[in-house]
Amino acid sequence: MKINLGICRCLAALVVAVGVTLFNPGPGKGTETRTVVDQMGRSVTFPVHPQRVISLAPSITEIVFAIGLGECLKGATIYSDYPEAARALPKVGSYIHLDLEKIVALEPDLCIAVKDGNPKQTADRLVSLGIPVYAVNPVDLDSVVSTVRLIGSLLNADSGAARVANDMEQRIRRVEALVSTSSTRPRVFFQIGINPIVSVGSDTFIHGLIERAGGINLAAASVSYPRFSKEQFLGLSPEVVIITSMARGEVFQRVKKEWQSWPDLPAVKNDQVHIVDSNILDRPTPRMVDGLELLVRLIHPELF
Amino acid sequence: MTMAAVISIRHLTYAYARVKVVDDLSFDVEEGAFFTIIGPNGSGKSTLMRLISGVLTPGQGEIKIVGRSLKRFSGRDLAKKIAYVPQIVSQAFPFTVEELVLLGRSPHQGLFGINTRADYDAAHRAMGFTNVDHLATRTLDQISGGERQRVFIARAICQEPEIMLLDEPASALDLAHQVMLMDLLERLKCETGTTIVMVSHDINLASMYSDRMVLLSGGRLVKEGAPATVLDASILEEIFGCPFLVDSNPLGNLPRIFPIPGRFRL
Amino acid sequence: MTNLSPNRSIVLRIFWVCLSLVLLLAVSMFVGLGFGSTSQQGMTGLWNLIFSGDGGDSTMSAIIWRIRFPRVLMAMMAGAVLSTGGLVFQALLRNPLAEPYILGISGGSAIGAIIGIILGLSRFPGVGITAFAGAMATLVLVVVMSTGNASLKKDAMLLSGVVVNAFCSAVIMFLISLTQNSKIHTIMFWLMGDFSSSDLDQAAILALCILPCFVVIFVLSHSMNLLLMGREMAHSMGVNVPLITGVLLVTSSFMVSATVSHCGLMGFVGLVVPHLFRLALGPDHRVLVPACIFGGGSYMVICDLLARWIPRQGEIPVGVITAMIGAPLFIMLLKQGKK
Repeated sequence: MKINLGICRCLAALVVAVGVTLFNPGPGKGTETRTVVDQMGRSVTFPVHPQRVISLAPSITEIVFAIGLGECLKGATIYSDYPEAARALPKVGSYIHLDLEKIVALEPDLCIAVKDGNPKQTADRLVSLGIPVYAVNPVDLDSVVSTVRLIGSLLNADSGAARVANDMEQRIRRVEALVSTSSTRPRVFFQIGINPIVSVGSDTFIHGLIERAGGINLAAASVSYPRFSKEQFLGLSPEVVIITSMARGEVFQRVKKEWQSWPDLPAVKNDQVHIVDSNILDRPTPRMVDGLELLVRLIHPELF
Repeated sequence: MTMAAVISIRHLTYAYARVKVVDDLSFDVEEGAFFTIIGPNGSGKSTLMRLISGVLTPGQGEIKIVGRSLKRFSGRDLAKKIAYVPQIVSQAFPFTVEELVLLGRSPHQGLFGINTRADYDAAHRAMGFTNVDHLATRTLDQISGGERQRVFIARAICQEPEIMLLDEPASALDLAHQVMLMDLLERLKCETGTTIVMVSHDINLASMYSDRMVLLSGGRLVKEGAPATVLDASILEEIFGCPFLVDSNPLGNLPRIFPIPGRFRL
Repeated sequence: MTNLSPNRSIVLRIFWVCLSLVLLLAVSMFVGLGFGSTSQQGMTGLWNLIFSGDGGDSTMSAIIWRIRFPRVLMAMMAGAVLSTGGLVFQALLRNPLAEPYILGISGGSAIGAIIGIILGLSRFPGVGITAFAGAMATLVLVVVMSTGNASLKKDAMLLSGVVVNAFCSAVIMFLISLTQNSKIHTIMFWLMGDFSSSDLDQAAILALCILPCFVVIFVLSHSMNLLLMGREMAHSMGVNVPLITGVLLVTSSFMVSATVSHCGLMGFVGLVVPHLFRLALGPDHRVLVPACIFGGGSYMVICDLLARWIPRQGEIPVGVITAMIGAPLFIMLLKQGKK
């Protein structure tokens, strides 16, 4: 009886040992490889000319397409919905819950991950399965620009990347010049959650965009996503209220209506309650500059 | 003095929450006797049972089983000497009758309880003795109360004990089955020499079978001896708090008691 | 003299039960290995892979051996542990509604895990350790709370466990309300049972923890039969009740806590599987313990398979499947029992 238990365990262990020693995929033989250190300090070895890349976050997908290398992407996460061509890519799970099997089945020679979102454990498992994972870590608008150049260098598309990055920098500088001509800095409340009311703190992308666009983020705090009660919100007396919608339009329309029922709010008096598409504001991609330009228009309408 | 004392109790005391449930008891149970413990509610009868079976540890005093102190018995050794039949056993998971009786063999088996030919024979003999062998494959919830009690006694017999402790074994049975059960116990005592120690509420029933009785009250020993000695009207009245009439049982040289209802009192 | 029940030899019975359930386990593991989000080659491919050592598509092999296999192993162990744990607690507490989390293990481990996730620790070993510590803390609390009143021993432990679990639920709600959005997803997956992050190291460590526990419980299975009669009866048949109860309690709690720390909370397994086998095989624990080990393992492997197979995209948390199957199964068993 105890023997049966024992035999089963031995058998299982034997099978495991056989499986692990016989089957162990690695990078294709005979390809040149290079080794770099990624933005998390990890040493990554991958082919000099990656042919099969998998993007582990929607923002990475966008960047790769933007620098013109869409055809080397062989897989992406579920919400990789921009550009349109990305929707056709095979899906490898969501970026917080990656589907290891699908990734391995696609036989990538490089995976690009983001530090903020992809679980480190999954990345480590991919590496232990012989799949190189390069992690980027964009934290603000400027680092998004350098991430674009970085990805370009990984994929041998330096010229394409430079084009995009230079364009981004030009437009950013134009916005900064414009903002410097204004004497006011409106107080902005950026709302991303309805119940409870959640705004964006100092270490978010959006905070940086607001400040760059010449506004003051009323929710700047040490917590990334601080919460407010209605009272606290009203007490802040924002001059501009920006509400993001993540494709649930009607819900946020209701919220806008609600704020408009408080006529003493400066934002309501100046008709400065807006709903925007969050995708161009919180994804660390070239479209972030579109977001910046949008914010300037909303925060400083007098400059246009 | 004449026969060996198979249970020997000296100055036994047990307190619970500062109340002495058993207070300075001393008596002997002789080998092969039919010994009954009687007394009103709260007199410490069940606690005394538990002390003898080793479930409770006495505060003071000593219990000796076949001359050896109870403390010096291992669980298994004690189980080979004393078998315990409780009043009710709640059955969450029903075993069959045969399985239950076989469990009684465990003090004689290894940790895993493998049953040998000898075990099966012993179980079968016990079931035959108690007349439950035709119920062997039934589960406990499929048999009557009387049959269930006999099954538990069969299990106790399988332990091959020298002493059998029974806690009010007949109280849940109808009259006919009460007598059948007591007859069974008497047969057991006579045929195998097992000492029977029983707690009983039914004093008349007990007196018809007992060699010796002990009367407890408030944890103290009031009287010990043959039924005729113990069942004295004045003692009973003092202990139970109501008048008794004690006369002679027409069936033989036995006392018979009646508590006297109000309208018959002087 | 001749109407003894048929199947007399307990050893033979155990052998046959083990054999048939091991077979079931092997089949479910095979099917479990064959299914996944990329089932291209199906069963025949899998058969060739295992038995003819044919390397074939090395990617497929990697998927099967390094992703699916650890997961199926973990599922098997979790199922075995939870079922056996439930069986032991049902015997110790003599209550058919007992399940392995009843002494506060679910509440304590959840709190520990959530704290670990909030602190940003990795699933293994970080969160595993905090979850285990939490489980042990609540266990000690429950035992301390329930000692003292000897006559109520059995119910005191149950009640303390229920109270502690309820309190822990409140604490868990509180902690969840405080967490930032990104971590909530991780917490939810843990609370619902999650095998997706299993790897061979974890599986090996868990196996090391639980194998001795299985051995101990199996050796004491006859004692569990005796304990079913009640403490006094068991004592009178020679069982050292406090010692055996203590050993079984500690062993089961340890293995359940170790499992929960790795895999999160999966409900209903520990409640339903023991009843299922008890209905089929009778109340003898010498047969039930191996039945729960192999049968419970199979049950969980199948549930994990369904968790991966049913949704088109992603996976359903395993705890959801065990509850969705377990609840109707339990109701069916109750009805069977009444007949």
